This record gives sequence, structure tokens and C-alpha cells, in this order.
Amino acid sequence: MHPAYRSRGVGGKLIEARYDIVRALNLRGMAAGSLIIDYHKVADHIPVEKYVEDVVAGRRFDTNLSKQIRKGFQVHGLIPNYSTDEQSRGWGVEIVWENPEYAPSHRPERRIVPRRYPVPSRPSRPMFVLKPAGA
Amino acid sequence: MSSDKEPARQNGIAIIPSSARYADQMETLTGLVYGINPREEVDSLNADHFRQHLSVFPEGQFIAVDTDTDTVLGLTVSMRTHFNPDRPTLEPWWHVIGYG
Repeated sequence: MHPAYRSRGVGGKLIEARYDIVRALNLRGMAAGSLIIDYHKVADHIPVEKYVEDVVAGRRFDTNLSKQIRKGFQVHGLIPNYSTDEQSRGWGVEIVWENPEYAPSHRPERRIVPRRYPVPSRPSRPMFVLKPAGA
Repeated sequence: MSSDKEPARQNGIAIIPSSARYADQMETLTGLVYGINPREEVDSLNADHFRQHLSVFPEGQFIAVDTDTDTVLGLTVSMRTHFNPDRPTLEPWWHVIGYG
């Protein structure tokens, strides 16, 4: 997200648009590598395993991973040397969202009609209580 | 679309499927978000990568657009792949996407 437009729920709408595609195509789910962009703030004294454990438990807020967890992703594991992102110290977090509507016997749709997802330019209320304002 | 400053007009933002005509703006936004030049980074997508990706995976790609200025404010990139949730992913991002 453009830095000036963060924390307005737009990123969440982008995730929801992808959820809709997964449902429409009858796919099992969505997997992603999440960057823990606030990890660099504590990386010198907290192991990455502990950091992610705390984020999952809600004891710590990560500007990226915490939002993805709130949108329904579950953490499956850590990926070393995932990227060159310094903020994440190279770590990626494997996150998975399973499509609750997945039906193995259904053939996926071949084509879907693109649709627009209008979002408000300003949220009616804050979606998150941001602690450290990060990237 | 290369400034941290919020555009003056922002009456509406829409999430729409990505298309090739936005590829240059997507590269610019990537550089802004990560503080890099996507043309010089080995593990970043530039406009050529975005166009190629859209041609292979036309579904599942979305952008957030300021509807007044037609400016890309956010983006997401997806691909369709076989995935075994019981087997951990241990590959770097750049390997997963086949080096762009």
C-alpha cells in the first residue's frame, strides 16, 4: 500500500478480493509468504520464533503479519532467506488461508467476471490500533 | 505517483483487477513502498515482470486505484500453484515465482 493510504482498510479489501477469486474458482485456499516488517526493531534480542509466536498470540503487533492474521490467515511456519528485506531480516512467515467453501468434487469455473470492490476513502472507524507506525 | 504525499483529490478508492496498462505505476509503487529501484533489485518485480505475470495469471491480480486520478495506491500479486499444506514451504520468494 502507498504509505499515505495505510490503515484505512484498503489492504484488507485487496485480500478479500483474492478470497473471492479463490471461492469462485473453487480452490483449496491461499498461501503466502508474509514479511514481518517490524521484526528489525527487536531482532537483536528476540529470536524470530518467539517474535512470531507473540504476534500469533496477540502479545505483539507486527504492521504486516498481524493484519493478515486478523483477515483469517494462519501461520504455518518460518521460511529462512525468504527475501532480501532488511526489516524482516530475510525471514518470511508461511501463512495459509483455507477456503471453507472448497468442494473437491466441484469443477472450478473456467472464467470469472471481473468486478469492482469499492471501498471508502476514509474508514468510518479505525480498523486497528497501530502501535509503532512502521513501513 | 512517486511521492509520499497524499494526492489532493481522493474521493474514492476502488479495488479492481490489474491490467497491463497499470504496470508502470505498479513498478513505481513497489519502489516507493520498499524504498528501492525495482529495476536494480534482484528479488523485486518491475513493470516487465508485472506484465508477464498478468499474461500467465490473469486472475487473482488486484490493484487499489484512486478513481479520481486513476492512480495505483496498492497492489497484490498472486499465482495459481499446487500446494500441499502438510509440507512446509522453505523456498525463497524469488525461487517460488521462477525468477520473475
